[in-house]
Parts: sequence; C-alpha cells; structure tokens
Amino acid sequence: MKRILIIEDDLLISSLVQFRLKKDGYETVLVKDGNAGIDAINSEYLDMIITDVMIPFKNGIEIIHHARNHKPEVPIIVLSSLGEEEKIVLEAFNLGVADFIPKPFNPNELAIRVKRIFRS
Amino acid sequence: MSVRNTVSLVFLLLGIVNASVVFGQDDEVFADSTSFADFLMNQGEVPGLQFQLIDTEAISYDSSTSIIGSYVDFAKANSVKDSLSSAGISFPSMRFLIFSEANTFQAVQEYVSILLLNGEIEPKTAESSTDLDLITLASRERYSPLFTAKYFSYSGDFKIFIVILTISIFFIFAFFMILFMLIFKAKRNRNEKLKAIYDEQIVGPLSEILFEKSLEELESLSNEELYLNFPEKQLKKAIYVEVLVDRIIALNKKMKGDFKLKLKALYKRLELDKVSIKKLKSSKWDRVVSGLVEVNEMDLTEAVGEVNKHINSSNFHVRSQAVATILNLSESVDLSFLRDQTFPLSRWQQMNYLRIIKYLSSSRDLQINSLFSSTNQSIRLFGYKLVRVLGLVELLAELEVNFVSVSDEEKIEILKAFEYLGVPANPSLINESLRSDNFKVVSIAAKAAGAIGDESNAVTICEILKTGPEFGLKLVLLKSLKNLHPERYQQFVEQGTDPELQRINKHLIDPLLQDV
Repeated sequence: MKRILIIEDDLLISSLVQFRLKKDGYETVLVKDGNAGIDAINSEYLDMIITDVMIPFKNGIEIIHHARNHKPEVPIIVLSSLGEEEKIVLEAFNLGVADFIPKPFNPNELAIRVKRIFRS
Repeated sequence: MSVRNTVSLVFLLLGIVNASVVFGQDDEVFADSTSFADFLMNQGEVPGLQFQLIDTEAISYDSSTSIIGSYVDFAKANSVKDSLSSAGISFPSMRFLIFSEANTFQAVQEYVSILLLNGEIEPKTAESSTDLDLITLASRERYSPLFTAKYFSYSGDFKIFIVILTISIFFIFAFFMILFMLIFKAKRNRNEKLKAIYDEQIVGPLSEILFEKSLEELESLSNEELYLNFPEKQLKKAIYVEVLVDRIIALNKKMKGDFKLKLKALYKRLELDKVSIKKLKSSKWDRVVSGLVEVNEMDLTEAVGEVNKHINSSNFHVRSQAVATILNLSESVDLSFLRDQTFPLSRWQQMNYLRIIKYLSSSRDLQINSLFSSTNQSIRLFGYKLVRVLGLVELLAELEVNFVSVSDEEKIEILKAFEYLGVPANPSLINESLRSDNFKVVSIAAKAAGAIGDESNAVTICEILKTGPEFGLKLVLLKSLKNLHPERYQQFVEQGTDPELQRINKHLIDPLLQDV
C-alpha cells in the first residue's frame, strides 16, 4: 500500500484529501505544520508528499528543499492558492515537484493526478 | 458671657491702675496695679494674705454659703475664678483677706509693698512663659470652630464619607470588572473548546457526505439520514451551527467543480440559509457582513430583497459587500442601483466591483452607461474607467457628449478612455483640453493627441509651444507632436531658436533616452 504524507494546516481540507485518497486505497500520514512535516519526512517511509505552501513554522518551499535532500526519489505535489506569488510556484517547479494544484481545487482531480504520478 | 468677662476684667484693671497710682505716690514698689497683679500671680503664697471667691448671685440669700473657696495662692484663685466663669457655672468675685480680714485691693498692695520693703518676702522672678501658660490661656476659651459648614455641621465627616464612598465604588467597579473579564474569558475558552470539538465532529460526516452522495442524493436526503451525520440535537446549538456554517463557507471557497454544488445543496438541506438570511436583519454590522458573505458564497438568490436594503448602508463594509452580493446574485440586476449611491466609491471598492463586473459583463447587459448620469462623481469616474477597462467602444460617443459639461478630473478619465481604446475623438475635444489651465488635463490631452489626434491637434500644439510654456509642458507637447506629426515636429524644431527646445529634441531623438 502506497504511503502519502499530507502537510496541510486546514483541518477540513486535509481531512477531505485524506478521505479521498483512502478511498483509492492509499495510506495517509497527516501533519498540520512544517516542523511536523520535516519530522515525518525524516522518520516515515513515504511514497509521496502533498504539501501546502503557506503552513505554520516552515513554508512549503523549505519542506520541498528538505525532501529533495533527504528523499529525492519521493514525488511531491504542491497545493496552493492561486493568489500566491508566481515566484514561489516557479521555485517549487525548479526544485523538481511533480505537480502543482492551485486552490480552489477538486479532490477528485487531485486523486487522478496522484494516480497518474504513481503510474508513471 | 465673654462680654461680662471683658467688663469685669476692665473694671479690675481700672481698680489696679487706680491702686498703683496711689501706691506709686507712697513708695512706688509697684509701678501700677497690673505689675502688682503680675507679682501676685508669680509670687504664690504671701504670708497673711488670702483670697476668697464669692458667688455674687448667692450672696444676697445667704452669706455663709456664698463662699466658693479660699486660696492662699492668687494665681490659683484667679484660675478657679476664670474656669467657673468660662464654664458658665457662676461668675464669682474675689475678696482679699489680710490676716482673715476683708480688705481692698489697694490695702493688699500696700501690705505686700511693706512686706517687700521690709524684706519679709523675697520676690520670685517671673518664670519663663511655658506651654502650660498657653494651655491655661487656651482652656479659658470655649472651643468653637473657625469655619462652620452651612448645611453639614460635620463637614470633616462628610469629606471622609465622600472619600470612602469613592474608594468603595472603585473597589466595587474593579471587582465587577474582574468578575466580568473572568466570566467573559471562561465563556470564550468554553466556546473555543466547543468549536474545536464540533470541528472534529463535523469534518468526518462532511467529508463522507461530499464523497459518498451525489448532488441529487444530497438534495433528496431524508431527515433521518441527515441527522445521522449531523444530529438534530446538535443542530439546535448556536455554536455548532456557527461552526458548520464557517466550515461549509470556507470549504466552498477552496473547492471547485461538483463539490461546490454539493456544498450549496447541503447548506440548504441543513437550513443554514435561514441562519444567513437572519444575519442580514441583525443590528450588528459585522453579523450583517458575515451574512452577506454567506449569501454571496452560497448563491442564496431568495435573499436578494434583504441584500438590497444594505446597498446604501452608511457602513462601508456592509455597503461594499451588499453591492458585490447583488452583482453576483441577481440575474436581472443592472448597474442602475449603483448610480443612485450617495457615498463615494473607494479605490478598493472599485477594484472589487470591477472584478465582478468583468466576469458578468460578457453574459449580462449591465447598462454601464447609466453610471454616467449619476450625481455622485466617483460613480461617474468608475463608469468611465469601466468603459476603458472593458473596452466598451460603443459608449465613447456618449462620453464625447458628456465631455463638455464634466469636471477636469472626469475629462482626464474620458481622454484616457479614448487614448487607451485608440479611437479618434472629436478633434475639438482634444483641442479644448490642450488649451486648459489644468496641467494634468493638457498633459493627458497631449498624450491622447499623440495617439489619436489629427492635423488640427498638431496645429494647436504648435501654437501652444510658440507661447513658451514651462519646461514640463513643453516636453509633453513636443513628445506628442513628434508622435502625431513627425514632419511638423521636425519643421518646428529647425525653426526654433530656444536652447531648451534643442535640448528636448536631442533627448527625444536619442534612441536610448527617448523612452526615459
């Protein structure tokens, strides 16, 4: 079973994503802030990371940096508001994220993208 | 009583003075009766001399009972006499006895003088005045306050009462403040805890219902099924409902596609729309704004009537949100409601409305031209900006007609619209603006002439340049003329002798500097 780390401070969004991914048979690890995200990256076995950009303590870019250094093989999907700076999005892609999903989003669409990344 | 004392003292002094005169004539041991009285006061006991205090009122009835007391010390006798007088008990007179026989004051003075002359008594030196004397003197006068309050006989107590009352009020107020704060904080903490609990309770059922049920299933959800996820008991609790509303609204902002529709269906199924509409009737502006946001997010078209009531609200936030909500919700509404607004539109409001209008203008006739006839200048300006931003070329003719009668600020906006859309305006419109006294109008007109002007505008620009305008204006006009009519510009520069003109020309023809 694939294990996905979800780093999202909005309880409802993370729960929805978790619910949808569980429906597709994935195992999920849910954390609410950047520090917990870093800890999870260090300690957990992961197949994918889904992270928001604006999260407490550490931002999404720092999480990506850390993940790239410690688990370069793990694909990352960035969830972020459209209003956020283009620079951040570009930086995320430069760091090698697998996909970027702007908010508002459809959890079903996220599930399809996750499936596509695993398939490829 | 004091009058009587004074009178008796005066008589005594007169007697003493008289005696001293007599005494002074004989041997002059005592200069006067006062010095003799002082001598007796200091001397204490004098052999053979006695002083009796006689009650003057009782003497007429019985002479034996009229003696108040006998004293060998004059000072003591005098002190008792004064005490009785000041206490108002009686007003005794003093009788002088020499070897137990009553005598006059003069006789006593003579007797004492002889004793002194014969050296039978030693005069005592006067003791230094002590506090005791002062206390004795003070005790002769009955206490009476220097100032007396008219209405409060115990003014001192009244002041203390006021101070105590003030301190008490302060402590009572402080106590209730602390009590209120504690209650308020406890209540807020309780609400926060409840919200966190309800949040946890809501997340699961909400996720499940959104993924498990289709839109049709959600719309036809039975009460039993609904209450299975969201208990009826909980739905009666205000905080639970508040959390539910907040969560659905927040989720609606972050979701797209069929999730949005499902959330709206669930919102109505849970009868949360009634909660939102009720908020619109609140007297608190923040609740009204929150209600307006909810109505807007959930597309509650049935609330349009209620929202309309807030369009001209005196509160900025209510007004802004109401207009945004009406624009979003109403299918039939045009911008005529905005025309009648009396409050000026802020830049933030304009930006907010523009975002909505931009989205709606393609699918709906918003009658933007109705804004041109508004009595509110900021609304008219917003209308001109909309023409420019939305590219409404068909409305330019209307702007051209209005141009003559509007203010400079509006002229600038109209000229900007013409220039931005690249539609040639009536040459007289630009010519008239070029001759304006307002530098900003001339500057914008020159810029517009450069883009959409004609021959007549070039002539006008040359005429103005010949009048020798200030440097800034000269630069703008030359730049415009260069764009509008390069030949005429060249000719003008060649003919001109003004060194400033040549400097500007060098700047404008320099490929590196011309856009600086």
